[in-house]
Amino acid sequence: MGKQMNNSCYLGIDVGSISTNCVVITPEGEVLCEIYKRGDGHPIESVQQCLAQLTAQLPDRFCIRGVCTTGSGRILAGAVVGADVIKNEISAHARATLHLYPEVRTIFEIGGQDSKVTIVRDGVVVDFSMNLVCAAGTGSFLDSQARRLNITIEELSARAMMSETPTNIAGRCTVFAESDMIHKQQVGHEQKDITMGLCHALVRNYLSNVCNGKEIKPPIVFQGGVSANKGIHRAFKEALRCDIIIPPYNMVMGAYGAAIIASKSCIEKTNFRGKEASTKPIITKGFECGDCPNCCEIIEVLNAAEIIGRTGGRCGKWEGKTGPRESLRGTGPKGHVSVPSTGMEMGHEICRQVDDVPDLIQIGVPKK
Amino acid sequence: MIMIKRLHESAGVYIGTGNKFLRNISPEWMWKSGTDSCSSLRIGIPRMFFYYIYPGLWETFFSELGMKPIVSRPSTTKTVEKASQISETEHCLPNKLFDAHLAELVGKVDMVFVPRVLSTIKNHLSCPKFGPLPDAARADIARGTEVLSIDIDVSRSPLSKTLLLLGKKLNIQKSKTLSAINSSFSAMEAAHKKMARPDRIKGAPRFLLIGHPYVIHDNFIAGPILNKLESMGVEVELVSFADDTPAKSYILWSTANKIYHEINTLTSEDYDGVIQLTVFNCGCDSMMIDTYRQLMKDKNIPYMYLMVDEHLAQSGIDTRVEAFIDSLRWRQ
Ligand code: SF4
Ligand code: SF4
Repeated sequence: MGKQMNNSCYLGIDVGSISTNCVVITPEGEVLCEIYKRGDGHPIESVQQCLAQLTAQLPDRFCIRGVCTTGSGRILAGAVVGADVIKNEISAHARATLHLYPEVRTIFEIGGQDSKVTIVRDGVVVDFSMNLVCAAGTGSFLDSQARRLNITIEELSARAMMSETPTNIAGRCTVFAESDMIHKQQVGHEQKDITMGLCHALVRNYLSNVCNGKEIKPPIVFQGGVSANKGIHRAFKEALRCDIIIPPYNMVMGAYGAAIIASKSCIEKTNFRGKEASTKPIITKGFECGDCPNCCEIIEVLNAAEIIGRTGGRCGKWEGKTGPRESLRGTGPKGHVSVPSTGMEMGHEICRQVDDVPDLIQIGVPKK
Repeated sequence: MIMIKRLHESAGVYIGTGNKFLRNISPEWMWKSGTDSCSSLRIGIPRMFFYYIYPGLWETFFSELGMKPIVSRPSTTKTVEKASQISETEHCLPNKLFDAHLAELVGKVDMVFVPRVLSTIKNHLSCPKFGPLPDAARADIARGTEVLSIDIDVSRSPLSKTLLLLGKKLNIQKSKTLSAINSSFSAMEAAHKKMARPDRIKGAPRFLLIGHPYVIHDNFIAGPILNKLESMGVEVELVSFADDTPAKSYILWSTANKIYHEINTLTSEDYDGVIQLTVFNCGCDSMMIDTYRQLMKDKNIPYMYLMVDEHLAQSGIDTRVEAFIDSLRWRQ
């Protein structure tokens, strides 16, 4: 029994828009293995590859006792691997940071497509915010600018560190930044100064959009894919004039948090599909719900012929359901049942919906 | 009867001055309504803005006058698609949806109703986006369809007087209009009661959802969020606009004034959290969010705002709502 306990471990999987990460921890929270994999837009394959890599890395004597998925692809990934817990990425990130730095008060997290700030007071998340539509405060901003400068993102980071007089680049949005950068290149600014200018632009954008109205207090922990970039780290330090902590496992904090959540969830028997999940071909099939005028596209995750999960839909009625499709049609909430209808009930005799109204008949009169 | 002079045969000509920015109505409608044959008149009401500001009022009013009110369908993704094709890109989301609702009615009704809502509370203002709605409708989306409009400016004349004028404009007997006003006011009262969502689940966490009435009651904007909260076992109450006596404050924007005073009287016992629903490109909200946030912070009530735009995916809503609820659990 005791031996078995020592060998148990917990898996956290973070499926983001740019990368898929896995972390395996011991029940005490020690990391046994971490995988950071830049995905290519195929979350299911990425998860499977990660799992395969993980089985190769993890010594045989360890046995996974619980799995938690997080990130924007958490539901899909959860269906594929058989997750015990599915958690949103904000909570997962905060959990990991609080585990390593119980005294943290602000968490910056910048990933490929989204960026977040989480405000913690006395070990409790009190506020958070996420970027909305704008990508100027996220990793994709740097990616596209690095491409434009014809350097890799690592080079960009290294060059930015050499800059002494950073160029001021308009960072309000990617389009402005790009034209401004071209202009600065043409008037002869050095590349290292331009790269540092880009880092400042991203940080300025992040602080003014995502952190708008939030009380940023040290200790500040900075994590997520972009935290590997030294230029950004430097820009943050210069903008906020205080130390910014980059945690170990900074790239995989979401997965680490998920693993911690799994380990704390008192899972008796895991649903984890094990090795099988990484080898069996998983396919997805889309269909249109059509139960209401929203006509949502629903994705079915199939393991051979067995439906292991569904996702999609604005009303959430299909989320995670595995029953046969026909039995779920017409059930549950539809697009518009939850909003209290105003005024007359639909179909009230005095007030007709436009649906039941025939089009006006138009009579064409030929011109002479 | 008001003097109606047709200055110009083309659309968009105003007759009268001051508050009576009445547009000419084709004589045939005047005639029809005068001879009580307006029962065949189908009047389209877009399900946006004034439909939610005065819930239940318009349908009842027009049907009491003997017309057939027809309301556009609740917003869905289809409405949004339509809006993106026909509407101005710089508009706020409700304004885009309004255009799509209006477009849905055109071709199905004899006349669409688009009032100019200048103020709904005495000495308070409505969003300036409401001002050009009738003109925009005539000039663009409802071009060729009769647009019935009237100025609702409560600062100058109360709603009942405005409705009386509307009846007069439609050439309807005063007594008939008066009784229509009475029944439509009571219909509005009933609708307000229904919209406020009475308590249902006992012992569940209770949230207050704040936002403009046409935002928190719109199916596309609020639907997914309400569904999500409900599926997580949270009881949601929507801020009520039933009582329209303004509170004394520097905020002259009528809905913002209402919301501000609604949350100003809250204590942390009333609700476990306040969620503000706001829409992309809303000038009013972007001014007010900080005030609300500060107020909620002073009162120690967890507050979150969710900004909705046409592209907000369900996963974005889920993440925010789940994280908000997680943070509440952590606090306890
Ligand atoms: S909102 Fe729900 S019922 Fe309507 S189409 Fe989408 S999934 Fe189906
Ligand atoms: S108050 Fe905001 S949401 Fe309402 S019409 Fe004005 S800008 Fe649009």
